[in-house]
Amino acid sequence: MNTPEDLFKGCFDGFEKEPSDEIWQNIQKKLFWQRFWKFDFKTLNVWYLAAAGLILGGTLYNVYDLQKNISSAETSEKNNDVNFTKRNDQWLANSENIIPIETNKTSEEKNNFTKQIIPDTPSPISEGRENGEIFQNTDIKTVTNTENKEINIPDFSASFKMSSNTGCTPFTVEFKNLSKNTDYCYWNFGNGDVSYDNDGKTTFTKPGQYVVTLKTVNGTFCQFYSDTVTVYEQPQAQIAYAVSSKTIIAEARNTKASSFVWDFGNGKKSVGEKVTHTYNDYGNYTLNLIVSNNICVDTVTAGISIAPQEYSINFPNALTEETRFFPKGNVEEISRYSLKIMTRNGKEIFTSTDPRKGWDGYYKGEKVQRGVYVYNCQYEFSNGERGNLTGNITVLWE
Amino acid sequence: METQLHDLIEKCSAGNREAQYKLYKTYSPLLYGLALRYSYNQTSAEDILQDSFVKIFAGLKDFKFEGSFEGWLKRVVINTAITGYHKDLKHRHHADLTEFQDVLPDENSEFDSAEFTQEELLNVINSLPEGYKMVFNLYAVEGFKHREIADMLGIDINTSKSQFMRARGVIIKRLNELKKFKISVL
Repeated sequence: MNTPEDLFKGCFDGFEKEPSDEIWQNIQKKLFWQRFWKFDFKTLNVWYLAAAGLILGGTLYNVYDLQKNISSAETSEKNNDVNFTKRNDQWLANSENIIPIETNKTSEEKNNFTKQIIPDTPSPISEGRENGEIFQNTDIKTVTNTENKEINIPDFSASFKMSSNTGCTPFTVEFKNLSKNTDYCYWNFGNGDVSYDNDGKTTFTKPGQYVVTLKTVNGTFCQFYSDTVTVYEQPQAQIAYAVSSKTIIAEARNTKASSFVWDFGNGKKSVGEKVTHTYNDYGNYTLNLIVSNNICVDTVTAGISIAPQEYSINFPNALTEETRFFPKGNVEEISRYSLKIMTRNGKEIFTSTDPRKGWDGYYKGEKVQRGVYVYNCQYEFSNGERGNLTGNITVLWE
Repeated sequence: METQLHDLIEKCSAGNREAQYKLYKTYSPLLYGLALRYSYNQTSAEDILQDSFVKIFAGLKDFKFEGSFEGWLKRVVINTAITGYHKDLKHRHHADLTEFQDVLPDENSEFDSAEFTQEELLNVINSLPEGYKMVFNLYAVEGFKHREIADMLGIDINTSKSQFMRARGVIIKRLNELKKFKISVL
């Protein structure tokens, strides 16, 4: 047994996972750009020379251009641009074409700027980075940060209620957002699904315990509210059964259930994955199975017919070196049996009251002669039916 | 083995692309596993891994072979993760685990390692707010002392201790809940 620290250490010390191939590409790109931007005299970069050349060239051109403009400015042509004329060493704009310069924002606008809502640009994935699973924080009015300064945070909350917190796969849950005074919200449903909608909705397709977290944001502050959803696997019930006389053996198949309740349709019930039951009377019954897995239930029925059996047996008509003479058919249902084998003249040469014991063709220790013999069998089945069979046996050997 | 590693590091410092790739291939699974533990998802773990390797290749020439190379690599990854965390801290308020996370006196706090999968444990630790997760990781898995953690994260040593205990309390609660749930499903 381990403490949680040991448990995690044991599991993650030396934990390895292969990153995707892209990562190496990205690293190479970053290394290249790093070298590119690094101003290192040892590795004089051709690009630097080119850049330096461009800048120099650009500057020279601008200086030249400026010179040209200065000389032509004296002849101020009338056009729509603002023209500057030089008078008394001062540059003055031509008053006819003054373009007003934008005034500074008022101080009020400056203050409002801090309240401007700019949702974070991140994809839901990096949002999830701070998505700590936390408990209700609605009572926080002031909070201390790591420098131990008091900060006032806006009065906002994170809260929701769920349509249901326990269900069977596939389980769809709706979440009603009860948060107050938020700029925006982010849902992480714990099953890989996320949302920026105000109310949440998701479907859990696998059983498990899920922590659903709502993150609400106001300005530069955020809060979390979490709750748990428990999802059980929905079982699917199937019956497989076999009937023998008045007895049924039934088995539940393909279920993901922990409990099985059978109703045999005659008022009798039984529990278990595999059950046996003997009916008292012939008839048609409805077999019902209810499987459950915690709160998830499934049911299935089958129509069972318990009817008297039609039994029969028969005998072969020949006997050879390889075969024995004995009855075939519903031999196991025989309750009373008497077999007599005679010569054609009626002399009894074999009798038996055991249907499993056949005649091997011997009489008084010796093989009988080839020829035709007669058998007579009287029998009764377990269901009370009686019968009588007579026929010939041809003994075929040397 | 020691000289082989020495050679490889020298080649990497000199900018040999093949050597750099070999170093990356050798150590990236371990460092990626580490990054995954310090972030909430694949994307941010990948970012940490990328930034770390860039720093590693840049800093290789300064590696003086005192102490374990692997330890040095892991330290770079952890520092990168912490830097990211601090950047985040400036922009957002990270909420606190409130008092009622203390472990109840009769709550089970010992666990069999066979009871939980790696994925389950990763989910449990990811359910903590980032700061607490970081403290727990650094103390329990990496084995740093609270004084060292306080220095690394720029917090008070008592904050490190109390954050660790709270994180531990939440983890115990989560593990017990998970255990109960798994039994009920059987």
